[in-house]
Amino acid sequence: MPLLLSLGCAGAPPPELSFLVISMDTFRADRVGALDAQGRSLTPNLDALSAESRVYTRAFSQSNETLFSHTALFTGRYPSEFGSLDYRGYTLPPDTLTFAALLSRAGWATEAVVAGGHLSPVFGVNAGFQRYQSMTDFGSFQETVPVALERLDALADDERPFLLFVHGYDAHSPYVKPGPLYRVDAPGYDGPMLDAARNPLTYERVRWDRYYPGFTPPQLTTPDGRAFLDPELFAGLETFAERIPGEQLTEADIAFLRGSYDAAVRHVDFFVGVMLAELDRRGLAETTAVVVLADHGEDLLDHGYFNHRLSLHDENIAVPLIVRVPGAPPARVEAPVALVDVMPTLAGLAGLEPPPGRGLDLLEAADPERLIYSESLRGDVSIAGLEGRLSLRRGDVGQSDGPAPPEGGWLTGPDGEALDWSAPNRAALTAGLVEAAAAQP
Amino acid sequence: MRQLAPLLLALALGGWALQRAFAPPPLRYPGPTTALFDRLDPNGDGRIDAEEYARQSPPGSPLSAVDADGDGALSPWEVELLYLTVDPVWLFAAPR
Repeated sequence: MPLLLSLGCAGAPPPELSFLVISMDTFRADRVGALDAQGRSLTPNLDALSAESRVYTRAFSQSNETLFSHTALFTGRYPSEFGSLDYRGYTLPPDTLTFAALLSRAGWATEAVVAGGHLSPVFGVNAGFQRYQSMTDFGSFQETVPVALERLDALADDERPFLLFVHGYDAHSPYVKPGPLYRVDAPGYDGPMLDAARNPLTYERVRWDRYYPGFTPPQLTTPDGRAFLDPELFAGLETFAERIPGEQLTEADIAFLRGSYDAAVRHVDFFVGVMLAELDRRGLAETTAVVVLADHGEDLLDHGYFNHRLSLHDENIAVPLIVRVPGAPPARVEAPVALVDVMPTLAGLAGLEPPPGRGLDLLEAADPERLIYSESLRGDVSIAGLEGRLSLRRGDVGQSDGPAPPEGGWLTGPDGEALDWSAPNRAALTAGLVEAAAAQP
Repeated sequence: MRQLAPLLLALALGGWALQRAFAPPPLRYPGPTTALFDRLDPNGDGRIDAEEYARQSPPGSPLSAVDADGDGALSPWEVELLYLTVDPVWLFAAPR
């Protein structure tokens, strides 16, 4: 059995493995194990899980937006294979072969408890789940985890193995989900952002070190009447800032906003710990593979905004990816991997043939030369590999072998630095882009 | 001495009952809660007092609202209770 060979494990996983998949919305990869000012980890529970798991240190999402990255996660395919990346019409067909559908057909009980918003069933992301509970839009694990634990009780009593998918927006703006103690990572801060941080729109009104309280972000409306922020808000804010000076943010203001994100990270970590403790308490840990991941990261003014949809920089698409399989030894995998890999990985663990897709089994030998493709609803594409990342606007791909980056395009390395586009690098950079572009439908 | 025995027994039982009534319940999630509590308790004295709470919470959120046993400070079980039951949406303000 290839799985056992590739795992190199002392004990084989149970024949009918259950799966717990936890999606931490907007959770930056670099926050796992990050230390605070006192030298303490922000994520003690994720750290403990990592110590007994396969940890993928260069995992990338296929999109910097919740709906599209979850589409890739669920299907093992690129988001644009299911339509134009636009909230107003993007819907997965009910018969889409998601990992939930695959497992469901093979006899698994498949359930999800999600915090609505872009994972609302209106987008079809419930395809294949036998039960899909969508809670308060953009809500917290504080709401989804208790419901998930109730379902875990029911699933534990079921004779079938199960898939349980749990999701929360705790690290999504506004970063105030930790309730009254949201100032834990910026204690004593008493500036204007303290109150403003509770307003969901505050974060869309910050650009670099200025705050534009008069700016009203444009919104899009889905066919069922739901309003979502228009990704063109970035251009809108730039235009607004040309006319209105805005308010200067101090270093303390910015430290508080960033600190509130870290407080939210702690909140997520707490609930991951709760889920894992309850899995263990129910005696399910030995028969359940655990996958913990994020759908995308977050720009914390690294590129000028508190948001994730501006670009495909690493801050926005590098994600945690932790896989614990009963009986498998822990490992750290440095080779690039992607959320599209989760589908074939779950299929492999379940002993099922994965459907055709873009992903690779995470438990097989990883390819260090692999290029990871991502795309955004603003039309960007990005290719990430060990050597760095290359991004530009989709419409400019055809011009990418020119003497310089095409107008409107941008090329950056892993730290956001400009890549050398001159010969002989140009040929390799172009080849990577063309390969990724050719892989698109 | 024999006459005092019922009284001593009653006192002992009363003391035990009082201790039971005011003893904090065991933590439901000791690992996650202790890790979180340690971060919220900068001076490490095992309780988040009013000053520590005020420095880490928004203005206008009184400690008394989450101080379940009313002793003027938060202990680990109260923090666990807080995280498991307080609806975070209470902090949201209407968009301006």
